[in-house]
Amino acid sequence: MAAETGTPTTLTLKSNDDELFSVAESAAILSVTIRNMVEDGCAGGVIPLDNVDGKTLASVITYMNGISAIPADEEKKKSYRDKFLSDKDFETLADMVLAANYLNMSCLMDAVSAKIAQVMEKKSVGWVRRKFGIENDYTPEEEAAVKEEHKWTFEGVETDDDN
Amino acid sequence: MAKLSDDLILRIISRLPLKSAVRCKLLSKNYNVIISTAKFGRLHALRSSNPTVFHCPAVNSRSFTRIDPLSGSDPISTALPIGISILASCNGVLLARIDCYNEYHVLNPITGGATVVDHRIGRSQDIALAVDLVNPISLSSKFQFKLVTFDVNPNPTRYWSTLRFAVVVHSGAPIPAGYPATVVKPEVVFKCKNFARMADRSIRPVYAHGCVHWLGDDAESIVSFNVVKEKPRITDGPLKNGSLNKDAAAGGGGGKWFGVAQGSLQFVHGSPEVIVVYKHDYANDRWRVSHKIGNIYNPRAVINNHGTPVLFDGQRLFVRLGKRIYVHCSD
Repeated sequence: MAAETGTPTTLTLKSNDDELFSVAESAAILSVTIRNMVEDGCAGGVIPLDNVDGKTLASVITYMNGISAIPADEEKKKSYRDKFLSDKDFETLADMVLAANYLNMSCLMDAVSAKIAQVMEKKSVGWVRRKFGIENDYTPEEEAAVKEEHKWTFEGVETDDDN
Repeated sequence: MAKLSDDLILRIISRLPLKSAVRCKLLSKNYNVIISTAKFGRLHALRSSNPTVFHCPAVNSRSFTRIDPLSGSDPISTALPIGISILASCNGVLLARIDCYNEYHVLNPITGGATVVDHRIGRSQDIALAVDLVNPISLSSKFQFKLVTFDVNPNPTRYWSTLRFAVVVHSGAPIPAGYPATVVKPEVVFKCKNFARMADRSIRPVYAHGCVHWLGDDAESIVSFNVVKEKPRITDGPLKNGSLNKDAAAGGGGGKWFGVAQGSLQFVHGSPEVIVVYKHDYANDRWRVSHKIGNIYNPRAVINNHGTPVLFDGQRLFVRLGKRIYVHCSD
């Protein structure tokens, strides 16, 4: 790699559905997972990312390029992140959490988690269960008892048939 | 959509405002258990984008104050009816006394839950509240708290003092027949050489790491009482050690504050020129200077019996002076 100073190094990433993406090394190493591979010298050919599909990886790479183009200015980075996430739906955000976790990108992980939290803040318990695929193992009596105990937390919550 | 693991979902829940996070206990039994743990409480406290601080500044306080430091709005003080005083606070829960009946209540101002302490607390020099559960959201079946009263009598003719601790354990659980809700433990008496007086009454005992801590006079020593093992211990305070004394001198005998921030005991010592923040290193059991704050926005709002620090987030120190919050920043 040392011989290649001057020309920006490009890495090739492969999603689990076999799409190939080119990305500048300087942007890709925002992912600690990729940075470790580069440092270990495993980045010569194609880097396979078995846990990320092509659609999500394309988004993540857009983010990598966008955020690494911003100089060290936390305000501007934050507004870029807000704008980047503003048009993503819940399913896309959830896929991005998984990808950010796998790629070990803490800044994206924090931003996406916060965004999902913002979306679910006023949603009903039923909505959250459906979206995350959580099985309700309470009996109706148990559920009523827990709900009664935490009545104060249900002020201002959307009703269950909201989406 | 791929399914997220419980761990990832909990990381998202930890970013919700408190009310929404607690509502997630209803998702399933597993989430109810996890969200009730101290570990989750700490995670939530660290992540929360707008921490709320309950602040009751002194013993026999007639009001308590709710502060959202990051929202920029003024703190909301709630005056209590005449005849009710707040004696102690811990993890958002308050211990109040109804003076005319000499009756004690533990209450949660967020949920409105309250429970009566059916034990006469005697002459208490200094009372502390220890809520083991870090998630005392509702005064529910799992709720338990301990009250520790502490009394120090320096012996005028000798060089040691007698410390007395009395512990009352109160369970909020539905009481099985024959099992008392309140358990009064035998008094613990401890003699020691290096603790003569408590700091002045404006410095309240603090609950952290399973112990209640009282700051000694001049912050030279600390009495810690382990509420589980029911054992007292005396340790050096933040201003004991020689190297720290220089910083204290630089701070020039200003106001003092003792509390918990970011999971550690902290001691703040201020003068109009500089505010020094000391942090207790729990692993090594020693105090060190963590920050010196020189950018003092309003010298009157230094901790000099006027202003009281309410929150330190590692960079900004929020000081309450009357109804306003002032922010001092470290460099």
